[in-house]
Amino acid sequence: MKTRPPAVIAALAALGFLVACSSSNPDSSDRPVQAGSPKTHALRQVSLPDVTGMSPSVQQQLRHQAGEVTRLAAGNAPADQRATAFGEMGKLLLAVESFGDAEACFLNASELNPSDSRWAYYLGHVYRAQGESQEAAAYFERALKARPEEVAALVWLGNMYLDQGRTMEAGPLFSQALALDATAAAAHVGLGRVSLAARDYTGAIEHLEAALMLNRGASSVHYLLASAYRGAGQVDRADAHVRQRGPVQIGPPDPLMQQVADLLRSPVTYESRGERALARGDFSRATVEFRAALELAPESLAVRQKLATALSLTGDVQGSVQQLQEILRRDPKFASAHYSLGVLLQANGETNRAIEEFASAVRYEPTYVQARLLLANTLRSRGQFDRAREQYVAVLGVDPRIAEARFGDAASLAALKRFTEARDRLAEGMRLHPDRVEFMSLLARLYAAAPDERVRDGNRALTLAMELTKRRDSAFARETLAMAFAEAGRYDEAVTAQREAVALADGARQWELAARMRANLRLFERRQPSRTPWVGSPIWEP
Amino acid sequence: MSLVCVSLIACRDNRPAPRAAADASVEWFTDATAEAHLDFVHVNGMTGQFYYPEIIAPGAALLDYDNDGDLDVFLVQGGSLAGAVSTGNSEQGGQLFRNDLEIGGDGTRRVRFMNVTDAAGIKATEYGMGAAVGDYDNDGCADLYVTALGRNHLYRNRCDGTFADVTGAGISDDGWSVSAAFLDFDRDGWLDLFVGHYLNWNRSMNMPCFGPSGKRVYCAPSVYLAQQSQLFHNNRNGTFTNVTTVAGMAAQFGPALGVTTADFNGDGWIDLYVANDAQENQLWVNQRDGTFKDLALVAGAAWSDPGKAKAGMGVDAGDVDDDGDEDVFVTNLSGEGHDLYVNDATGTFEPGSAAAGLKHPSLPFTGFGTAWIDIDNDGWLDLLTVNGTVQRIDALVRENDPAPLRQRKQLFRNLGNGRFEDLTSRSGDVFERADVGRGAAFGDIDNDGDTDVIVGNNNGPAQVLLNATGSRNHWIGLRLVDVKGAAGVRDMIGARVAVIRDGLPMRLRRARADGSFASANDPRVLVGLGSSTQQPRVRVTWPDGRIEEWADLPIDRYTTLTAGSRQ
Repeated sequence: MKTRPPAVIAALAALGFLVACSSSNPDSSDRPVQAGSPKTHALRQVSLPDVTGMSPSVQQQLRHQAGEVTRLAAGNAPADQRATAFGEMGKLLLAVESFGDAEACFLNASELNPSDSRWAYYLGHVYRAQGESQEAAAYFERALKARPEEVAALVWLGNMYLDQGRTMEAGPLFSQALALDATAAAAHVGLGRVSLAARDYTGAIEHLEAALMLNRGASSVHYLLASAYRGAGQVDRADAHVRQRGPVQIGPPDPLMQQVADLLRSPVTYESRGERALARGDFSRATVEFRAALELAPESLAVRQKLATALSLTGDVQGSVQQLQEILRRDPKFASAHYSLGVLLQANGETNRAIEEFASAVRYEPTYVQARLLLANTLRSRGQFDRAREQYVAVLGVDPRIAEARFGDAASLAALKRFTEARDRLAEGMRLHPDRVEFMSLLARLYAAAPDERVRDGNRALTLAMELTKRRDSAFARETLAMAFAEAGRYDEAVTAQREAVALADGARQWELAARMRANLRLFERRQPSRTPWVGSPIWEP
Repeated sequence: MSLVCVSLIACRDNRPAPRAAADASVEWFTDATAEAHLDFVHVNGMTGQFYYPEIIAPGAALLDYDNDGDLDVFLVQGGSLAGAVSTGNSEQGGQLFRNDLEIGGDGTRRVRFMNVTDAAGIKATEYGMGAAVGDYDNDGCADLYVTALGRNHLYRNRCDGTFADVTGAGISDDGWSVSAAFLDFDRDGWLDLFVGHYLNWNRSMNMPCFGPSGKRVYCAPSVYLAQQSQLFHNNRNGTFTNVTTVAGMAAQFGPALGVTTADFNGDGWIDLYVANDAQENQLWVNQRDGTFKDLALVAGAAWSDPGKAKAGMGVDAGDVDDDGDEDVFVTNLSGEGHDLYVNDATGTFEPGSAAAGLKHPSLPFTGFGTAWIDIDNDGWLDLLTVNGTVQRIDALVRENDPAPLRQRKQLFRNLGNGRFEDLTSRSGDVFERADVGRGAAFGDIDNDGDTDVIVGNNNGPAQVLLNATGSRNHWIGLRLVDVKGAAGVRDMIGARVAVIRDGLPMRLRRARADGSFASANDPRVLVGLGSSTQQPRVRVTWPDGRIEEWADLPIDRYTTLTAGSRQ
């Protein structure tokens, strides 16, 4: 059986004693649960969760707050103070995801001070976290009765109603939230979902677009927007939003839950906060959080790595390098430190050293796809195509989904003048990644202009080039079309297309490109095809 | 807001009035494990190291391996993960149980299982995950494919009560796979195989993950790379060829957990739905040329209503709204709610879980095995899910519960108006008991015309749940087969059935062994007829596209329909 630290045992005993005294209050007798209304109970037995395995700092927080609850009870403190103590305890327990214990504390807090709506609000979240949407809704309703202007409660309640299929009741809540706070993007999302459920696609588009305007980072909204546009028959727009989809959800501005999120002093929570700060671009904040995590867990190389990343993003390259060197001093095989060092070196123009670091990263962690891909790209940029190919092939061996690796391999093959293989690789890329025009683009150029006549095919080049200009018109695409016309012997059309390409390049102030394109133009005017599919190393656009 | 129907329910004014709520006193299923002598305990090999595979398995399979007309059971075993390599060392291995069903003169039925693993020659000692069943060699005997952490194995049924391990038949598939499905994707009359792979994991790669308090927890799947799922084409000579790349599946995959096959766009060709863990699900639509396209995103079947990927474990397809197409149900983690994707007949889907009353009762639960089954044979497809969390439940840990992941199963009854009634708390002892539910194989084990369940519990005993209510209504049972010369008959997985009666709704079903989680189901088709005694007409669309009809089929019994036997 696990043993608890003495201080915790004392707190536990005191709490138990505390509750026993309180429960003799006739006003706090158990009342039956009413349908649709929150549970009401006498003060409940509260116990600490099993703290074994928790960070020492978190254990300390729990013990301290348990002690505070006991002290106030023993000193016969006023009910509102005891309520706050229980409430703060509840917040801690909610933060450590000990929902049963958190529930007891918030119920006690609510019982001791019913006028403080915070406790009902937190209870809503306790039940929401456990999937008990009816109970959650009841408590959010209760919190709103006390504070009808609470935007977060309105949005959360609306979301609970949506989960229950009560879309008619959810809509007004989101509308009310917006009336109170026009910037509450989550309320727009809620109204968007209500509209989608009602197949009001126009309404859904309006609200979801508004949500995105307010919060560009809410990438999950793109998927909902895609559904709305599809329902409205706007398939192109739907597809565009599908391509931008992501996992980032948005919640309402929620100061009360933010307190819970900021509460724990554990390496994990500081690390999570740091990651969230990184994700939203607040790099300075990220460094603060990661440093806090390191203070509690100085041995954590993963956190030190993240600190290094955050420092480099704030511009403190030296600080970043110091952290990475410290990591490697402690563990020379820590692959991501080698990788990050490589990135910094490469940015500083020290490409050879960068290559060494990337190579170390993949030596110590062979499935490190990101490092291997960057190694491959760097090798390719230095003209080391065979070595680059080794890395691209290895990336695909670990994860065949990486289109960039397939592309890089094809470009390397072409650079090695292995045009037949390059063609096959690009065709495979087109088939496996139909949404990536890069494969189509290069393949069309190979068909049009490869020095190897076994690979050239004017008709195929034309088909692909025409499709390419439809999907992504650009100077490069126009030139591809011109090359295809030329290979097909249609030089007048080639000249026209190439002139358009030059004009586009000029218009975009891409002088070097325009100059090169003029050279091709002269070829086509002389009724000669191009035999240079592209100049330099093709770039993969992220 | 414009004047539109604000709820899908209100729009369906051609729907019958909702059916009465279920009788509160009904014991829908009985636990017959002890009487049936299904003595099996899954071992997950937990050592406190939070090895990821510990919490995933096991699956279960129903198959009539000896062709005696009743369903036998194969149960997947785990074992130790402490071996030198990533595979387990399962001394016991997966177990095969023969069903010695006895039917008395008065109609009483006694299910009795006999362990025949040794006699059958099955040595499934890998750290097992799931199972798939199909007669891949068209010899009239059901074969078995067992997925694992490590090498999967194909066991060919020799039709003499024994199996041969033929894993070298081009189907050797290492890695970590969970659900698999036999399907005839090219309509050549031979079953091909899709194997869903999960994550790139071995013991040396195991990462420590922590909750917000700093306590050790099982990692999220995003910590590891997903593994590529595989499609194998049957070469019709006992071997397979890996066609994953040719089929266009090589570059799109997620950590696959649940797999089901159905014709989602009504073009007569079998498609695949894959539930991926914490990544978008996939709808592989058969292009009829040996390739597939993942259309889940454009079809609205990839993500759930709030616009995010959920866990995605168990999955099944079925016509739950009786509109002639296949809808999809996916089970998810606690706090996420299970998903219902309602098909509009073209293979485009709308989220329907909340409106159907399925989302909010499922929020507290982590669901795994599941199926659309007509529990009470009233003609409407109901839903049963087996549940069990993947992170320890504090309250259970505090009680020193040896299985602090256990949750109750759930039962949802289709009201026939687009909504479901949560019967869980009124469904008897079986649904009061909490287990760490994972796989569930659905089928008529006692041949009494209703659907029973074999449940695989993680690190616990398997269960036999016999349906106690379905046989009170009328039903029609169909075994859909094709004659394979002297070899006998093969179950025609993928065949679609329309049961037609005058003045009554048409019921659409399909013969399938896949779906649920890591499990294999009874390929026979059971259709509830309610109180009607009208003998139905049955139209069968065979996997190769041929259509045949039978009239006046007898009810309350199984009938075998053979392809080509009608004009």
